[in-house]
Amino acid sequence: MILVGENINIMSKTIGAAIRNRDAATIQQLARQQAGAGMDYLDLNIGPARRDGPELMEWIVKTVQEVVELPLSLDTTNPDAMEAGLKVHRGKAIINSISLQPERLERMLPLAKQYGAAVVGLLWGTEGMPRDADDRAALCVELVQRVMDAGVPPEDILIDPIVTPVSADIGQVIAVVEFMSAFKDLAPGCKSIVGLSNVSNGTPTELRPHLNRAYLAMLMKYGLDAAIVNAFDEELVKLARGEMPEILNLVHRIMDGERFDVNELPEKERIYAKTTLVLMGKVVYSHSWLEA
Amino acid sequence: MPLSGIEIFKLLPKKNCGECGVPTCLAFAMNLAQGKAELDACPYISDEAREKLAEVAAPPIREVVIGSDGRVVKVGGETVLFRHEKTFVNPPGIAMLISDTMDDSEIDARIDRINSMVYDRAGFILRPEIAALRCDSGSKERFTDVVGRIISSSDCSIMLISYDPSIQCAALEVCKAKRPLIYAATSENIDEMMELAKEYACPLAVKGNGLSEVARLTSTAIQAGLKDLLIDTGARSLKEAFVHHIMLRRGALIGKIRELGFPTVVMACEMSDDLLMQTLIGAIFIAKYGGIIVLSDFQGHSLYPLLLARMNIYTDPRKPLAVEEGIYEIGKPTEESPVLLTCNFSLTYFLVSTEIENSRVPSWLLVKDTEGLSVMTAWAGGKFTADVIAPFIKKCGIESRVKHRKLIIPGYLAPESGALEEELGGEWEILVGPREAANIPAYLRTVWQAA
Ligand code: B12
Ligand code: SF4
Repeated sequence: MILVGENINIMSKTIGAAIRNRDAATIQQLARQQAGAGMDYLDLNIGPARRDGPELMEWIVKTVQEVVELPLSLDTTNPDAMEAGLKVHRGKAIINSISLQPERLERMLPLAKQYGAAVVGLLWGTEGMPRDADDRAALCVELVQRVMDAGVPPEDILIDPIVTPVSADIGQVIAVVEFMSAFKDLAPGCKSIVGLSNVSNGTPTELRPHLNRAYLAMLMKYGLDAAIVNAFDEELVKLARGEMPEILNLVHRIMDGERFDVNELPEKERIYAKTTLVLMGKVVYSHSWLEA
Repeated sequence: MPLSGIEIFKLLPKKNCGECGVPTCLAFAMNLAQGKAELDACPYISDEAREKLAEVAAPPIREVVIGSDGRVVKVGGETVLFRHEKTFVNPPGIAMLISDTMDDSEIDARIDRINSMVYDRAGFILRPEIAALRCDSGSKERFTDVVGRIISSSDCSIMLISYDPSIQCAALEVCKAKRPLIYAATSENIDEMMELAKEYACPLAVKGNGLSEVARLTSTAIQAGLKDLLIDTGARSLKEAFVHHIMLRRGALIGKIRELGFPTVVMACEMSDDLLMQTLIGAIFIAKYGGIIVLSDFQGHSLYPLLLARMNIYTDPRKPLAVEEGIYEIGKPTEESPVLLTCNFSLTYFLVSTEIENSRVPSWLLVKDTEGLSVMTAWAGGKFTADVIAPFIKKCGIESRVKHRKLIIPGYLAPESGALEEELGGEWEILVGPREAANIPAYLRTVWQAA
């Protein structure tokens, strides 16, 4: 699986400040640490960056690639910033992201072919958030067609079904899994990607890794190809690298409807089992789901 | 639970040959899921898939349309027991009873109420749809006269109430173009009523005493080739009617009992004499599976809450609701009043506008179209940033309504304040409001007054 480190993100207080102050040392240190944690790509989220986008993106791409060999995922809605980043990027970049919204297609999509970059296709429709797995399927087919028409080969298309917080609407969490179950047939040759940490947004910080990991294990059942993740969650990285087959097996059996007496399982298995049940919508989410 | 398009898709041959009339198997699956296609259109379906897909061939609850133009009502077509499983689809129709023994002035007053009770709630138009005309006079002439009177003075849809087929026939002759609902076929008159429903191609309600009699009636009608049916189980106590509605919905969705898979008629007007009680009953059946709800009258205070309850229950919980972009006046603002900015996610709009009302400071609220996204979500998506807010402020017309140039922005937009001031050419002073709407009243009363 392709792992994309999410940690360089303008929304974080300290990193946000470092980006705004063009504090290269802080950014570079974080880049090195993520590379050391085994990431394949680093995501550079500079936000909408409406005012200084191009200059900022160019700066941050250069700054990061000065110290790490890794290719980057350029994360902004600003097409000028995107292009500025692609111009100076070394290797095969990821454009993160486009969607069927005309303003994002028209300016961003041509950049993929022009710069030979891969592209994240967000399943966000012209009418907004997809409501369920079916909406996602329809959007996916349309978006893949549009991107291929623009000359991007399927293996460079990363479809993002939009992960949303477990505490907001469990139906959406389930819908992503259902969508993934048909993905290989819906978009042959294309890849799938998720912004994994979204699933645990709004939950207590110390518990977030449990949700992220279990959800990753669930999505791996259907061959998830890539994930944008917290680079510093070691267990998550091991899981993604296939080093925890027994856990994957457990989660997938639960998804297939097998029943376990979860409280009888050893500690680690118990956590995965309980969390999987929450993410499947079998148990209602509350901050104390692990204690019940 | 009905199968989703994705589940159906997995069972299809995936040849994408287009012989079913749409270009891909996925498109065909989506149409099947929405009841817009017939399974047999694909020649390549395996027997195993066919078996699994049998249930999607017939939607579990028939969708029935009453009316032909004007206030058309579509009921039924529901696929879930609970709204949060997916969404409820077709809101119940709300009807006012009009008897042909009422005198003409009363009838006119009632038609007037049906026509004029229209409410605009944050961009949504709420109004009742149906006049339920009951023949109490026993006179064909009188009844057809009243029917004619109504169709010439209202665009509402019509429900005809009479157990006498000859009276129904006369009335249908007058209003057949409106595709009225015929109420009702019973064990006594079902043959004649079915003839009428066929001849005039109108939906037919069957009324029985309890679920088994109703199921016998719908079964007869289905065999006769009728599809657009509604059900009245005859229950006139709240408890019994409630139980029947639950059993009908469960029977149709879980038991897959075709005879029960039709929308209902709730005769709230026959369940109580008290309009308030009827309204309460109406609200219960808005939440639990009513199809057409007939009330003895409409008064603003009885109808509006029902319409609002209906809107809330039948909004799609999977979609953020949006209000329209524009300037909203709260209280009676003047050219000195404060100007506040928010996004067009309904929830945000309601929270913010309610708090401004609570402050009792008349205000202008500018609502920017953010595609129904909340403040921070919209900001993160680039839809609520200085460069899109500034042109909106310029062109929305607020500059001709107020003399001052002070704009209060949501606390969460604080990072945009500098850029916004710049984008507006320094003409506006940007005041950063509180983060939470709950603190708006205190803010308007203290900080704003001081500014
Ligand atoms: C549900 C949700 C979504 C839903 C959207 C639903 C919707 N209708 O907006 C979905 C899943 C679609 C979504 C998507 C995204 N989201 Co989101 N989302 C949320 C979440 C969990 C709740 C939002 C909500 O409904 N709030 C409730 C409403 C009522 O709040 P509100 O609009 O802010 O209004 C309040 C105040 O602002 C104030 N107020 C409002 N107007 C005014 C006006 C004045 C004058 C004043 C004084 C006050 C005031 O009063 C209100 C009540 O107190 C938040 C987390 C959070 N804590 O907010 C993240 C959040 C907003 N999302 C976030 C992000 C990053 C995104 C995405 C960019 C993710 C991605 N990478 O794709 C996308 C963007 C979509 C796009 N392409 O445009 C981040 C934003 C971070 C930031 N600061 O920039 C948040 C904060 C989560 C996080 N912690 O990371 N999201
Ligand atoms: S006819 Fe059948 S196989 Fe051919 S596209 Fe339609 S659903 Fe697919």
